[in-house]
Amino acid sequence: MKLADLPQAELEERLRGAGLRLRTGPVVSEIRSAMPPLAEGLALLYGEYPVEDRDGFADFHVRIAPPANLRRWWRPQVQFQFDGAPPFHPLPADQAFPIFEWGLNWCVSAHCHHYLVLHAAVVEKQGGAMLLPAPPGSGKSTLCAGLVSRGWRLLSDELALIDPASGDIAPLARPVSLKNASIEVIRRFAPEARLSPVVHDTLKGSVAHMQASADSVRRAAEPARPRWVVLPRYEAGAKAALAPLPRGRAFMQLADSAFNYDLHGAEGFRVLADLVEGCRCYEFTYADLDDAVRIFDALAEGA
Amino acid sequence: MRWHTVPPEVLSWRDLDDQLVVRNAQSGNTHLLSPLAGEVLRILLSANETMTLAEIADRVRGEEPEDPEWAAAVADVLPGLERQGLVRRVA
Repeated sequence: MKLADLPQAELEERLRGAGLRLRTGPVVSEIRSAMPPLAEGLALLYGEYPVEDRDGFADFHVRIAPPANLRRWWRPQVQFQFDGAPPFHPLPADQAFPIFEWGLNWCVSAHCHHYLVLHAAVVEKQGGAMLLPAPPGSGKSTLCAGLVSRGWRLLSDELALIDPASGDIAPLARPVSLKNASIEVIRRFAPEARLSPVVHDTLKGSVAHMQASADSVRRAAEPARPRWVVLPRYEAGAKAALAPLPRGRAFMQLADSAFNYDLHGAEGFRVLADLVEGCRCYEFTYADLDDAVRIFDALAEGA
Repeated sequence: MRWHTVPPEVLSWRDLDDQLVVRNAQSGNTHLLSPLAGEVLRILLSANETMTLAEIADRVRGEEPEDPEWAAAVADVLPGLERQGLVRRVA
């Protein structure tokens, strides 16, 4: 059963009661919340995702709820709870859906150590995966959203899960997080894209989430072989330019962006070195998403 | 003074586009070495014994004409490798 098959009343009942068990790629999360914005966000953006049996195994048990303090009535807040404990400070209540997304990212990056986990977007075309590791503000998520709006498969806009045994990347296709000016950029670039309502004044500014394509969700069990590493950088007014990046530098960039490279020790080194050896590596400067799509489509066609 | 690497079993390394990336399990750190530093480390690893600065410089020079600049360049590189915990000096 997928989430869209659940009547809204039952979705809300499960969230308020025993919990909704939602599969996103290799991860099942048991989600509880009585907060309407969360149910609305899930119904809007997670309709194609499988809902697992109530008795089944859940990797993460999370709750989105007001903290137990007076702020329940005065400037209400929301808190992300993991196994009953809040790993983060509470945020204003209107940030219920963003805090859920950020919290799930934290669950994966802090616990899925059977993968080498990188802070990177991953998209796929023609069977090849492109890793986009980059710091916040580099235009990574905007580029990712632009590419998936033009037929690239989304594996993740935030977390690359590398299987140490195979070297392949496991999909974790969840909504793409857009911030500030990127929201309007994507609205113009892909008017058909489904976006959540904009939430203002978060720690990251204004945020909205873009639904992952049904194809990306359907192929959530289909890993992809890394083929390109691209360090994107948005630069207003810049002409799109793809320049080769020495593999040594690409390795260091990926190692720096990993959440658990140190934990994997020598095996992590081998996995990353194998990945970089098997990829073509580039730096990419861009201002216009149409240019970016044209360049990356050509790259995929020539693979 | 002679030089040698830390025990090779604590190092993992890979040549990537003529750049040497090396991980030191003792420190937990990973380093991207300059081409010369990478070559010096490769020489010390393959020698499997201590070497003097002049011996290392000779190996780096290979078939090129003799020039004191080779030894000067290697002398510049060795302290950096030492700080990174990849080589040690023996008095």
